[in-house]
Amino acid sequence: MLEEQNGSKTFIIFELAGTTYAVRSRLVQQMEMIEEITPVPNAPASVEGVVFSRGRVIPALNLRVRFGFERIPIDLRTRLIVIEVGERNVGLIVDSAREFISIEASAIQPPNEAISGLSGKYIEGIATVDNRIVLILDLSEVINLAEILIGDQPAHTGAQPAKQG
Amino acid sequence: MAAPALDIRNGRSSSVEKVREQAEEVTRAAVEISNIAGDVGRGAEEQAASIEKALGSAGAMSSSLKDTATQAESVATSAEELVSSINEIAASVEQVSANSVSLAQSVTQTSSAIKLAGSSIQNVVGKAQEMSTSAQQVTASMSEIISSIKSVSSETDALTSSANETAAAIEEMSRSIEAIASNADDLSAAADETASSVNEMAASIEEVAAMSENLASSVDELSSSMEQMARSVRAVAQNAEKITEAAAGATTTAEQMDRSIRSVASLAKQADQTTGRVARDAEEGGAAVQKSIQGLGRVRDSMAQSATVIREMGKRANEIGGIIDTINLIAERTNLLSLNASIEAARAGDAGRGFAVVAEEIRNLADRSARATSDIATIIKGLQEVAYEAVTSSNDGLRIADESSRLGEDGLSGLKKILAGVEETSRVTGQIARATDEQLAAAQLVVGAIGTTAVQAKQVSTAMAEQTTSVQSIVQATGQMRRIAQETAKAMNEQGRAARELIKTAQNTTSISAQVRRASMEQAQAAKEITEAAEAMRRGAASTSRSLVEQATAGNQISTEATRLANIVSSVSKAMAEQTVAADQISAASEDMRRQSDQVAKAMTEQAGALRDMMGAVKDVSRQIGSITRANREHLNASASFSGVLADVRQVTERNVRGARETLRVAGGLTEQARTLNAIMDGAAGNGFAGKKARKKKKSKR
Amino acid sequence: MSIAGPEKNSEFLAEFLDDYFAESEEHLAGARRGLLALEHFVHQSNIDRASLDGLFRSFHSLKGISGMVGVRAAERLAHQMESYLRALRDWQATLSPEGMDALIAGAGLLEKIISEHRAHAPITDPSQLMARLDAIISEARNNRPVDNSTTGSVSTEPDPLRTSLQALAIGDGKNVWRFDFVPKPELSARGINVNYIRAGLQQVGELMHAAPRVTPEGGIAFEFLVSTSEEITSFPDLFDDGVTYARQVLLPAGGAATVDVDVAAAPVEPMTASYQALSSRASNMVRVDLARLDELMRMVGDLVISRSRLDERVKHLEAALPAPEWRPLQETSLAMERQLRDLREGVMRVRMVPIGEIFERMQFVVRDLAREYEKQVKLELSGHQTEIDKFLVERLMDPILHLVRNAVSHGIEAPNERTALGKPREGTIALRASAAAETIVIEMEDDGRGVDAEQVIARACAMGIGIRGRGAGAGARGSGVGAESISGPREYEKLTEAKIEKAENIDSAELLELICAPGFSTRAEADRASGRGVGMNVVSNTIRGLGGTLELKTEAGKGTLFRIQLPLTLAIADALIVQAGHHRFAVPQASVREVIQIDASEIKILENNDVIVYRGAALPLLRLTRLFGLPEDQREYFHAFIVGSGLNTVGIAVDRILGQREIVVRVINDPLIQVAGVAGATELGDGRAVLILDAAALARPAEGRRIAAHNNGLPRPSNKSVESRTDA
Repeated sequence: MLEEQNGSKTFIIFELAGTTYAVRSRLVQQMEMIEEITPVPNAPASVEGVVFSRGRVIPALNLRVRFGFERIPIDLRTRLIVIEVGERNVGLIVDSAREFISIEASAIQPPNEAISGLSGKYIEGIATVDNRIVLILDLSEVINLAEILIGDQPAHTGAQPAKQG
Repeated sequence: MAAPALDIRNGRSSSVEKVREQAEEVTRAAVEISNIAGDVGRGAEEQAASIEKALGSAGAMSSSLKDTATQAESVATSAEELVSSINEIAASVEQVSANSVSLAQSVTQTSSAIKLAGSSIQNVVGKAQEMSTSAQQVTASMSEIISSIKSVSSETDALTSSANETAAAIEEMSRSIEAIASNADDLSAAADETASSVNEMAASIEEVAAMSENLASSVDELSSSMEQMARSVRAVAQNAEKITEAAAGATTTAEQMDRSIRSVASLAKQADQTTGRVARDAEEGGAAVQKSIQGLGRVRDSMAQSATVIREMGKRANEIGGIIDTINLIAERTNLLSLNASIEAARAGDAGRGFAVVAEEIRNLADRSARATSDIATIIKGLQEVAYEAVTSSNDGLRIADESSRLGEDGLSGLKKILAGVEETSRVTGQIARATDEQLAAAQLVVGAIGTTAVQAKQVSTAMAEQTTSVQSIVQATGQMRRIAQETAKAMNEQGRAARELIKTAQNTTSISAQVRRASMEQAQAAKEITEAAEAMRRGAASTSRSLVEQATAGNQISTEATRLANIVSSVSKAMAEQTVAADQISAASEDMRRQSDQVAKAMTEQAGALRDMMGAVKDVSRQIGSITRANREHLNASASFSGVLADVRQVTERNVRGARETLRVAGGLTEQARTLNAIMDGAAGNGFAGKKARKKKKSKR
Repeated sequence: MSIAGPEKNSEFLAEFLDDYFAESEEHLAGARRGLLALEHFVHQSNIDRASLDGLFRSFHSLKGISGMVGVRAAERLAHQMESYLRALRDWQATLSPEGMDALIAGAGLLEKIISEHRAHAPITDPSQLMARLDAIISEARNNRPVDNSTTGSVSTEPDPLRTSLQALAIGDGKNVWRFDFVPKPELSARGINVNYIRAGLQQVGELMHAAPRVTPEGGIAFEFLVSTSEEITSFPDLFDDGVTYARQVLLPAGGAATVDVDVAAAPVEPMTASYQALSSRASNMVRVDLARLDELMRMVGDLVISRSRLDERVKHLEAALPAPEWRPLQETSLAMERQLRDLREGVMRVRMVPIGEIFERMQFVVRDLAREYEKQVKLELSGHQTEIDKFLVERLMDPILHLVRNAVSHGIEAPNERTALGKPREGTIALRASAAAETIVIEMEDDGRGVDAEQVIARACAMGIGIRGRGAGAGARGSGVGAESISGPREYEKLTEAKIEKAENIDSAELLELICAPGFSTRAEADRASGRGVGMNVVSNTIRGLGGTLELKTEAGKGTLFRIQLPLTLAIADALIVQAGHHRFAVPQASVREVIQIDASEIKILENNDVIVYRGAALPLLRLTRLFGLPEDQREYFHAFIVGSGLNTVGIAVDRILGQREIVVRVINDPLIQVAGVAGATELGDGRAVLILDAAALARPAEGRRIAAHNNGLPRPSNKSVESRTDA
């Protein structure tokens, strides 16, 4: 395919709490604006609720909460990145996502041990794109079930419906 | 009559039986005469005593004397039938008879003179009564003056400084009136003295009466005494003239007072006019304020209009903002779609490569449009902020306009209050003018009354001159004097009463003065309030003009901030100018009012001056009344002198009594003579002869 | 649809593989039908040629397509089976029982291999079976029988239904006669009419079929099919009555249940009669991937939602628009609604397949198991043409399989035992399907020994089920307050203990509850067909998961009946829309027994449990707000819906019931959002997901406790018995 052929891979770039992340576009099913999120009682804290995406009911995972940042209100730039990893479809709520870029495989380095914040273990690699440091996420870790189900405490039971302004 | 008969018996040794019998009869008659003479002496004494008590006793004495004369005449007639020796007695008796006649005549004359004196005194009394009436009229006039002053006082509430001055003047006047009162007291005391003097005069007159009845010899003394009295009466007359002069002086003073009151009246009129001007100015001021309120209303309207327009603008800006939002949304969606397209294109591999390029182009376009939109959004946001500020400031302006309008209305209502106060002042001033007119009328009445007093004083003087004449008549007819003195005393009493009433009046004047003072103080208070109201109005006007300045500032802000709204804003600023003019008019009106208030104050001062003048005039009157009183006192002294004269008259009268006693003694001698005659008759003589002799005897004896 | 592995990264191949799986499934189904028909010819050499041809063709096709996609094991096996069938056909070999077994085993193994290939699992080696077949073929070659085949007399053109009935009857070893009756006035004068004939034929045997038909002369004729057990050669009496007759022989095999009833007329290519129906059908059939139908259904659902949005807007416009303009808009909207309903039904019809597909498989299951347990069991099928959503069919296979296995292994007694009990030696298992309104009812009945309640209770007691087992699987997550929600489980435990003492008081629903408990088994050791202790639990969970219910009727010594009731489709359902704590939820109407209104004052509190008096009995009331930890208002009254049955009846209190709606059901697949009490999600036209409540789960004590445990974070309550209940 495209990425294998010319030695580069395509990514969706998104912003979260001032940091730039990238996910492989191959794993992204689609991008959506957030209209309505229905809270699910007794769901883990980082699970904002459920949304419909292409007729499927998928969880909306708030990456801010997942990575330990504070929750912010949903606005026009907030995006739901619907990813497909394995058999699962999960929507990731991010601050904004506006770019689709190709990164040369050679531009990607393995994560530096020194750079390991809260999201450190979800990082697959680090790339420099146009003088920007981009953290490439390991999505299967991000949506790791056991971690979310056990590690997360449900902070919201029947949380407020998220509504777009 | 028995005494002569005795004398005949004792005087004749030759006796004829018949003559002797008759001589015995003459003797008995002589004894009788002697007895009768004793009786006369006693009667004269009784007469003297009774003269002191009653008028009619003199007449009784006179008639008794007449009876005696008649009896004497019948004695004489009987004596003619007697012997020739009785002729002397007869002559003497005739003499006595004649003397008695002349005495009778004198008594008659005295009586008439006394009657004349009584009528004269009555006349004086009438005059005095008139004077009393006049004094009462004066009193009434004074009370009218006082009541009118009271009304003036009670109605000059609103006039501060002049009221105080008025009060002070009135206090002075009141003090002067008190002085008058004390003078009146003095007058009263003097009148009392007059009364007692008159009493003394009455006693003296009684003595004169007794004297006149009996003795002609003491007439000269009496006459001199009468001259003295006349002198005294002249002095009284002089005093009366002085009273007249004093009355004339009072007239002058009253005229001065009148003039003063007139000037007060004219001042009051001036004050009225000034007040009217003030009222007009206040009305003009009110109109100006109303105009400014209307101006404010227009300002408010135009501000509301501009606020609406600005709000509309804000709404438009919001709409633009909404459109911006929509554009943003579209840009975001475009970005999203192009991202999704890129994802799909990447999946499609080489086949999707071209599509991926297009998607990227689209994304770039979307980003550019998003940036442009965000620029526009920034501008719009600025515009919205400005619009919001404009709305806020125009709302502020609106609020200030409303407030100013309300303040203006407050000012108007304050002005209306002032107007009401001014109207009240005008009304009061009018009342003052009216009251002053009334005062004037009353003063004229006073002048008239004083004139009348003067006339009457002249009449008194004339009457006194008449009195002098009358007193000269009294020289001949002292009996009248007492009554005149009594009447005079009575008149004096009445005068005293009048004086007391004058005192009372003076007291009234004092209390009225106090009321005037109180009223004046109230006036002062009112004037102060007026001043305060004027101050409040000035303040209101000041705050109005301040608000206008603020509005002007707000308007300026609006005009700088929203040039597109120039038309409205220019109308706003025009409205501002109108407001400023209106405010100027308000302040001019206020200035007018203040000036007019000053004029009112000045007028009040003038009024006060006038009142002071009037007070001076009143003082003059009072002084002149004092002179009158002094004159009265002098009159009283004259009356006392008159009394002294009357005492002299009484001494004369006592001497008369002594003369009457001598007459009695003579009559005793006559009786002895008659016995002697009787004795002679016993010796020899007939009846007729004895009679003649008796008559002759009587005649010689006188 | 899953993408092919990376080593075959060709879209074409992936597409082809899908076709392969679909096609092989179809051929396997045909093969099974053919094998069922063939079984009647064991020990016979005159096997129905058509049946053989059909089978031959099926395996030949399987061989071909398996070779194309490289499933070598399947290709080899199919080839071997084809060889045996050729031997039977060409050499007129007698069909031995071993041969029959090998064929059935081969078909099973083929299916297994194909599904293993599909799941990328290790492929079972077919060599053993192939060797067995090889031996059988050699034997057949040696013992070629004489050709004594006799073809049946006349046959009318095959009526699919009649043909299948006939096939079944004949397959059961009965004689089938066909009677033709032409009504005539003279016959009628003698009192001979259709009813007379029908009554007469019912004396002869079982009247299988009766239908009028138009004769070529334009008259009316009646056709009857009668099956008899006795060997009757003629019915001379009937001739007098104007009835002609003929004995029927098995004509077409496998013409039974089909996917599509609507068959087009003429066959395109000449084929043998037995294959005609299938082939002609195949030419007009479009095979569709279920996923595509799902997609289609989803799109229809989206359309439904869009239309309801449109309808909302149109309603809003009523005030703003003049009536002449608004009315056409509204009528258009309504017309669109009708059209959408038609479209939805059309799509649903496309999804519908006859349940017979499952039923037929059970024949083999029963056959295998009967042999294994040395029991004589006959399977009676009815209503196997009842249509059901394809999605459901696939998921129903396991539950029905488990029920049938249980029936054979536990229910049906051994032949001797049955004889001793005065029952026929041969046990009967009936599988029945019927559609009623929006639901489908599937019954599995056996005439075995029934469920022994005492044994079940003793077993449950011994295993601690209802105490330990009930709480298993409770998650650790969840917080919130809902102290009274634990009432359900506690009560349940008390109840269980109480009933252990009094087995005769247990009702069938409670009994069912026990045997469906996780880990429950009456067998000490596991055997092949049952006893693994997962069977009934799986059955119960699957059916519940499909929104269905399971009922049990059992009588000791007489038999057992399981009744499964399912919604016709899962895609669209009628639901109550309720509101609790400012959130909306959908409750499938099928699970709601009643809706009531409760005044707050009616609620009694028994040991922190909300209870109301309902139909003269105490009814536990669960507050949805508390179960879900939602904000709760102080309310004067509630709405509640009654769910569950028997002692599991509870009232679920909500703030209010907003109305009733037809909802498009979306399943929740991701574990992150799979929470107890939520069955799925739907959309009501505003774009928002609305959670569909699993009312039955809320009603179940174990679920109730699990949810409660989520919400209050308390340790699981112990088995303390506080009070005992005397009422059942």
